[in-house]
Amino acid sequence: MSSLGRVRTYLALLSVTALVAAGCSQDEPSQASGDKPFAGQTLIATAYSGPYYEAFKRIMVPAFEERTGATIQFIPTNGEELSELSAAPPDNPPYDVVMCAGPDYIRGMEQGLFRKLVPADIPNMADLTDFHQQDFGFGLNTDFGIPFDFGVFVIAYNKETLGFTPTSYADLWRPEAQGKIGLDAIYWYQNTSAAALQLDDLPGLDEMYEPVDSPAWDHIVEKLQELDVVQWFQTGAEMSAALERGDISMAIASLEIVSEFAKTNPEKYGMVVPDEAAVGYIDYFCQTKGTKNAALANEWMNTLLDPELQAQWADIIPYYLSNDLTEYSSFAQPIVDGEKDRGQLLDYGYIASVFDEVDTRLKQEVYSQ
Amino acid sequence: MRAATYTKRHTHVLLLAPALILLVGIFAVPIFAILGVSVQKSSTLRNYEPGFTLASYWRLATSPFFLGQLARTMEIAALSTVLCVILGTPVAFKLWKAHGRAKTLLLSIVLLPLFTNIIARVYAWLLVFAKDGPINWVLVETHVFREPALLNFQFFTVIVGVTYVALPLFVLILYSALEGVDWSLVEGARTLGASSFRSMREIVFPLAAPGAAGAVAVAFTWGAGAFAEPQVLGSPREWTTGIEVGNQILRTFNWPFGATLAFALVAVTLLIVYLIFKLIVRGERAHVATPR
Repeated sequence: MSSLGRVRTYLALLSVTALVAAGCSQDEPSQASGDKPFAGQTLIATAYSGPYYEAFKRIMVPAFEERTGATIQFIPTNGEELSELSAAPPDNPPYDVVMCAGPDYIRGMEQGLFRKLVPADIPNMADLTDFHQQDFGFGLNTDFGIPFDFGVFVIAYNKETLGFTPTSYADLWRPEAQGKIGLDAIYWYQNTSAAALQLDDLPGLDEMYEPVDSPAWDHIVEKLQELDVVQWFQTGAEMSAALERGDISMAIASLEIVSEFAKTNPEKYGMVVPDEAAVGYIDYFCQTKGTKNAALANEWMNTLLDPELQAQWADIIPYYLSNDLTEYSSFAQPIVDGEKDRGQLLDYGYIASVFDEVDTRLKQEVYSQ
Repeated sequence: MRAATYTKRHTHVLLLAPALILLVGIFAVPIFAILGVSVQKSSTLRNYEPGFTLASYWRLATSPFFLGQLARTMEIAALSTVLCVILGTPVAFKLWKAHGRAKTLLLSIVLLPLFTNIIARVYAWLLVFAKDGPINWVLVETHVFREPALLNFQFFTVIVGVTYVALPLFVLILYSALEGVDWSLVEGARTLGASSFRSMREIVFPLAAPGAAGAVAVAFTWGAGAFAEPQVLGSPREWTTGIEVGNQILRTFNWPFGATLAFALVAVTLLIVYLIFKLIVRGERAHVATPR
């Protein structure tokens, strides 16, 4: 056979192999998903990066894809999605469903970035707990987003390096904690809550709801200035890495960031819901205005509210979840009970309105000291 | 004759056109877009309200905090550039003079960090400076410290991080500038009695000056735009204007002020880069012009 003939033979063999391979690789998924309602479609959805994202990816995403036959392009984000949505063309948002908590949910609604929900299209919304479906009066409601959880701030600590077992926010001000503390430099209300609960000017967290130039806020700032903070972190990953390295020994953080640590390595890491209150937030999932996948987005939301899936999810991150029918494991139940009993939701309407003002004041007077 | 000159000039313009279009597209247009947003009104309901105002510029001009942050950004850029010059120049010279395997090895060492993601490189320094990291271990073992000290989240850690990231770029640009210098000129000067220092000063420096200015400018620009290094390795005292731009746009949704900060950062950086070029190229001309 001439060399040209050999090349032709190889090419023919290669083509046949490629055709067979392509046929085999396409057969299975099309048969598996062909009879499902959303086969071949793709939903672009977000969740906060880190443990949240991982938990959703592990529990919710496979169930959703199995039920619908659709694919989900699941993107970890860090709060930047609202800016992206507002910069995008109204009829072509970069995401179909976004996760957002507290002030971001209120801002998103105010900016008209979300699509109004039709509860009848999301059957599991009928089983929302009374707590999650209430209108909190400061803008949090279920008009544009499904509530998923009630997340709380905890004190996370490294047992090997801290030297004592913290139980309350007051422990942050103990002399032996100074030079070992990490605090969030973005979601400042975690820190101002801790400071406000140490002050006696007004009941509870009310100092935080005074005008930012008032004496109440002066006292919050002074209280925070008393702390010797080693790390002002911008992401949970930065904080957990610093805790692991021993650069910091205690921090205020969302429970989900540290629960895996405390669960897998309880000899080294601990977390405690502070005695004063389980200050927290509700995470919402919202459909973006202009999404072309509203029906599929409804399916994703319905999956997120599925009580069986929520129970599995709570076993990873023990939060008080939004479906009243969710049954918690023996691991999650006591933590969730504590969250229900001592939970205190912040006034995110007020926080959203003064976010920039407080942020600037804290940068000038606390973070850079 | 005139027709030939005309055609030649047009050929030059045509050859330059793709680069010019690219430059205008990727540099000038975004800068003007930033400038446009910076003079809009801030709004809590959307990214900005249409309407001309200089309020964001006034806020920047009257805020010691944000001006201080800009000054700190330039300080980080300047210090890391000086370190790049001190550490990078001998490496670039060694690369220039090396041959064969030695050159390949040196070049690989310089290039290696560029193959790794910047975040991974910066996080690696966190581990190096950690309380249980190698530097603390050495300092404790040699009795410099009695117990591990907090080395992360400090100014010098940020300088180390920024220098580390900018150094390969500096070395590569300086090296490519040196490659354009004909070594036989240096040898000729030495044959005629010039010392090593004089041949470097009077032959290598003037010929490599424009490239060296480029290397310094790139190192400085990198430092001025540093984002990941100060965020990961520093405390809020070291947070740069670049980080603040991100916070204003992504967190506080104050796009006009974020754009103002971005524009101020670009303007100050460009001014300093212009001065760098002027200084180095003037130095080179002074060398060439001075009769000896």
